[in-house]
Order: sequence, then C-alpha cells, then structure tokens
Amino acid sequence: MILLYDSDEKAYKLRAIAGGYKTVFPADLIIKENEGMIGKAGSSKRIQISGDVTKDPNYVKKAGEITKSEMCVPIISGNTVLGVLDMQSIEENAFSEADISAVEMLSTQVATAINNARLFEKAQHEIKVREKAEADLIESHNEVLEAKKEMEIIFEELQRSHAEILDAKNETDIIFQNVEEGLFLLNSDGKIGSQYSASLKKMFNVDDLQHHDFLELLKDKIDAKTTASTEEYLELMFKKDIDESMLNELNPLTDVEFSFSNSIGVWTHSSYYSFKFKRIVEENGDIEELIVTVVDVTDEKKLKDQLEETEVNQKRQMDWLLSILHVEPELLQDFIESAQSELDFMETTLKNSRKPSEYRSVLRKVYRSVHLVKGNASLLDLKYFINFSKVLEEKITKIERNEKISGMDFLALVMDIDEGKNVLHELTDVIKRIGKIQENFRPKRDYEKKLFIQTLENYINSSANEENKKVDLIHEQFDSGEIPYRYRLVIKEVLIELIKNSIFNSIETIDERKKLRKKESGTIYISTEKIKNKFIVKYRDDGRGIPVDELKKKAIESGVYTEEELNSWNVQKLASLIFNSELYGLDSKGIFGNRTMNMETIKMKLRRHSGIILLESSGEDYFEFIIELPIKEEIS
Amino acid sequence: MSEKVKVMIVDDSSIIRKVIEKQLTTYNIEVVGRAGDGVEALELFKKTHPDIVTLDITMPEMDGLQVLEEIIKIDNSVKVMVITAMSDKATGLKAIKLGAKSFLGKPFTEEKLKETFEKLI
Repeated sequence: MILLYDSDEKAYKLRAIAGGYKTVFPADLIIKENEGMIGKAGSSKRIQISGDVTKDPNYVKKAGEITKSEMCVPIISGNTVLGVLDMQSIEENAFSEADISAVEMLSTQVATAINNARLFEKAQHEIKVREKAEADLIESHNEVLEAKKEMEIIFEELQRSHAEILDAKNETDIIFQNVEEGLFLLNSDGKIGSQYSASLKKMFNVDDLQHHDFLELLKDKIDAKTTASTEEYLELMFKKDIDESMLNELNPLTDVEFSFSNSIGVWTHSSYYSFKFKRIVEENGDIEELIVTVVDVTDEKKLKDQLEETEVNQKRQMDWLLSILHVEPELLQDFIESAQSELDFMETTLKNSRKPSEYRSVLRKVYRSVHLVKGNASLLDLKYFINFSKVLEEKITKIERNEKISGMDFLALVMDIDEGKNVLHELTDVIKRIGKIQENFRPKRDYEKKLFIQTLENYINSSANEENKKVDLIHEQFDSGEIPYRYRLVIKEVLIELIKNSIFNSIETIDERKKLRKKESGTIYISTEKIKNKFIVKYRDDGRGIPVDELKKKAIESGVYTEEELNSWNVQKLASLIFNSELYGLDSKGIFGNRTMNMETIKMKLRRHSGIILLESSGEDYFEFIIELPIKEEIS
Repeated sequence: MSEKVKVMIVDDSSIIRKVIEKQLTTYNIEVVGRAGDGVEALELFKKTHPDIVTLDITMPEMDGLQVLEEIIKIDNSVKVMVITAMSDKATGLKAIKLGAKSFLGKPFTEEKLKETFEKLI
C-alpha cells in the first residue's frame, strides 16, 4: 500500500492498496507519525524490514491482517518524506535484497510521480485563480465605469445643490439682516452660534456675537437674580426628560429690563426684551441646540406701565370718592384748606433753612405741622392722608435721630411734601367734578318746585277723596327750590306723614265742617324759611288739632302717667304727648294706629340730618309743626 | 379596573386643599393625605407613600423646597407638582431642578390644574 503523509494531522493516510489486503484494511486507514513500522520508516527516512513481525516490537496490527513479514520504504523527495510504501506478506522472511532495491527504485519513481501530480495540481489551481482574477478584474472595471457614471451624476447634482445652497444662504442673509427680532442658536455650552440676526447686535450693543457666552452677555445688563434663574432655566431646557411647555412658563427672560451704560459705567438707557427658547431635537431625542427669538417690547412695556399708573390713579380717586362721601362737605373743605396751608408752610420752612444749627428746630416745626394734618385727617377718617402723614412723621423722626443732619435729608422730605400737594390738588379736582355732576343731574329749579308740590297735591287729592273730604294745599310761601338737595327727600317724607294725619284724623268731612261753620275744604298750609344757619319748614292744618283727650287716655292706658298727673297739664302740654316715645309701639304705626303720624319715625328721619320737629302750637281747630334742619355752605 | 393613583395634597390653605381635591375627583385617584405644613407633609408622606404630591411652596414651619428635597430623598419615583405664585419663576425653576415633575402657578383655574395633573398620570 501507499500511504501519504499529512503534515496537518501528523499521520500517514492510505492512498492506494493492491493485493490480498484490499478488503482487509479500511479505506480511511490512518497511521500516526512514529506508529508502527510505517511511522518509523517515515520518521527515520530508512527502510524498515521485519522477517518475523511477531518478534518485532515496532510492528502494530491495524486490522484483520495475518502478516508475517513487512517492508516499509519511505517515499522521499529531496529531504521531505512524502509518504511510505508498505509491503506485507503472510510468509516469514518474504523480502530479499533484490526486492529491497526494486522497491527503493519504485519509491523514488513514486516520489517523482507524487511531486509531479502535486505540481500539476498546483498549476491547475493557479490557472483557476488567475482566471478568476481576470474575471474579477473585468467585473471591477465595469463597476468602475458604472461608478464613474454615478459620480458624474452626483457631481452634477452637487453643483445644482451648491447653487441652491448659495441662493438659500443669500435669502437667509437677507432675512438675518432685515428681521426686527433677534434670532440665534444657543448650544448646550451656552454659546451663541455663528449665524444670528443683525438686530441682535443692536439689542446687546455688541458688534460680534459669534460664539459669545450668552450668560456673560446678560450679566452686566440684567439683575443678578434673573441671570441666576436664566442659568437654571437653560440647564433644564437641555434636559430631554423635562417638559418643554411647562418650562416655558418659567422662562425668566420675559419683559426683562436691559440696562445699558456708557464707557464709564454710567447708566444711559433701558430697553425691555422678551426671549423665547425652543428646543431643536435630534432623531435620538437628544437636544442639540435651542433656537432663540428676541423681541423688543419696550414700547409695550411703557404703555402697560402708563395704563397701570392710570389705573392706580383712578383707583386712588375712586377710593377718595368713597372715603369722602361720608364727610361733610364743609369739613372736607376746611381740611383741604388747612392741609394745603400746612404743606406750604412745611415746604417753605424746609427750603429756607440755611444754617445747619437750625436744622433740628426746623424738623420739629415740620413735624408739628405733619402731626396737625394727621390729626385732622384722622378726625375725618381720610385714610390716604392719615397714612401719608404717618410715613412723613416716621421719616422726620429717622432723620432727627441721625447724629448729623444735612440739607440732602431735607430734599427727600420736600419731594414727599410736593407729592402730598399734588394729591390734595387731585382731590380738589375730584370734588369739583362731583359737584358738576350733581349740578348737571339736578333738575332745573322751576321744574323741581312744580314736581315737589305736584307730589304733595296728588297725595292730598287721592287721600281726601278716599275719606270723602276736600283739602286744599296752600304753598305760596313754600319754595322747594330753596330746600338743600340732601334734605329734599326727608322733608317730603315728613310732610307726607303730616298730611296723612291731617286727612285721616284732623281735617273733618265736608258735612262736619259745614256744621262747624268751617269752609267746605280743609286747608293745609306749608311754608319755608331760612333763618341764620337753619332751614325751616312750617306745617299747619285747620282740622281739629291734636286729639289731646285721646292722647291723655293713651298715656293713662300705657301706665306712663296717672290721670291725676295729666289732669294738671294744660292743652299745649297734653298735645306734646304726641312726642312721647313710650306711647308708641314697636310696630312703626302711629300713636292711634297706622293712619296717624308716627312722631318716632319723623324724629328718626330728621335726626339723621341733625334736624328736629317741634309742635309750635295746637288748638281745637288747628295744629302747627315746625321742622328745623341745619344748613352749611356747600363746596363750590 | 386599573389601580387608583394615590395623591397627597399639601397646602397651608384648607380651602385650596378642598378645591384641589374636588377638582381632581374626575380622575381615578385616592387622596391618601392632606397636610397644612411641611412637617405634617413629611410625616404623612412616610406613612402613605403617595404616587403624586401637590405641594405648595410657601408654607409655614418648613418651606416647600425643603419638603420637596426631603420627599425626593425618601422616594425619588414620586411625582411632585409644585404650586407657587405665578410671578415667582425662580422658585419654580429651583423646584424643577430639585426634582419636581411639574409646576402650577397661582392663581390657577380648574382647567389648568387638570391639564398639569394629566401630564403626571
């Protein structure tokens, strides 16, 4: 058999077999290097012969062979063992010297044949490789041609894109040069991008903003607290797990004041800007940059401030309006005049003080004036002026406590006093306007007079008809136009009350009057008069007067007086029982029921205006009441 | 049925606490605690382990930011909605930085409260 050496497996593998052992040895027979006589022949490169293998320690039985003698000849080419030629016999000492020479020669030829076969194989392989390489080259060449075509197409497209990009850049430049808003990109390091709108330079008052640190730009223009908040805000804007819309509500750079100074650090002007930040998000969700827009809101801010100031002033005026409504106009006028005088005095005193040695004495004088104003304001509960005076007092006290007082301390006080005078002036304006409104809404005098009398006459006529009576109203001496406006309603109410009593109790029916030889029509007389500081209304009817007997009876029934006591009273005194509140119930009815005058009601209504009602006189066929109300000069 | 979301309401105004509770009743929630100050809030938080806390920032005893910090330390998965004055943006930002998940400015409308709350559930 011929076994060839496999250098990878370091073993000899059966390649060809002839003879009786063809069916004995397996086709995949493998003899390891150095195994048996075959291995030894290969490793030693010498022929191995054994005449009796049973006695040869190198012999290894590999299959079902019944070998007695074996000869192994290495197949060598050059110095390399290609394999082993192995012959086995079933007879002992089967191989002679002649056999050894022949097999040696054979092994040489086999080595040559093997080498040639291997060379041929190699050459074939190389041919195949070369052919493949040629085919690959041709393929690559085609691919290169294809690629060249594609490159040409791409190049054309690039040229086109380049032109488009240039156009787009031109447009962008135009936008950036002309847009009013500030526009820029901000990266996560807080740096401004290379492209930004031209107006931004003006807003920040910096020529070149490229790659500038945004927070550094803000630091010398806005307050430290806002800068710190901005830093926190921007940090959060770059965190993708925080909701952008929520963060926008916390944007500290809205309507923020930018202060600008000159080269020596003196403030020159302020502008107001609003910044809006929007995330630019990559595909993976990371926030690459922020796009920032800046709007100049200076004009809007100024307008807003003006509106707020106007609102504040209007509210202040409304507060005054409400606070002065409860104050008597005359007293209010007094207050204004007095406060004006004190403020003038304070201002003059402060402005004219020259000697530092007099400063403390000046302060004390001013303090006394302020205290006076405060006292007057407190009396009338004018809260604004109470507060104004308190604040001024505190300021004066604080200055007075200083070891050294300077003229500059007085400057602040003078400014406050000036403000106080402006406020007084405004207050006077408000009062004047109220006065004008009142005047415009007041009905004209003639119409007023007619309306007032008409009301009374209508009531008299309707009530008298009910009672089958006739009653005339005599009012020649009654001038309703003279009634101070604030008393019109109460006087009307009192007169109605008195008229009610006249018609339902005092004035007799037509028949009764005939029997008494009185005129058919009863008469009610009303008149007005001004005496000194009083406004007087007189009321009289020609009925049966105050029912003194019934009053007396009522008084006795009430237990307030005894009969004995009342018997000693004269008619006038008995008539005055009409004013005795103990004879009235709590049900607001008149002394003899619902249709008699309720003096309690009348007195209460008049008391609200510091007025009174008096029973001037009373007889069997009349009674006369006088109503008195105080009058003051109205503020003009 | 999905589990109810546990909510704790912290505000020194009892009226605001009631208003918030009433306005959130449309959601599948269970109010597990109501506190009027920071100290009470922390004690309740440890006991009730809410999923969401509405937290007023300006409170007596312990200010809201301190409470927020302590709450996050105890359980950093809790979702806190801080409630503060609209004008106080600096505090709002600090709160978000400390770990609050959302912010609601006072005065708030029912609509705004619900819009902010919905982002947490």
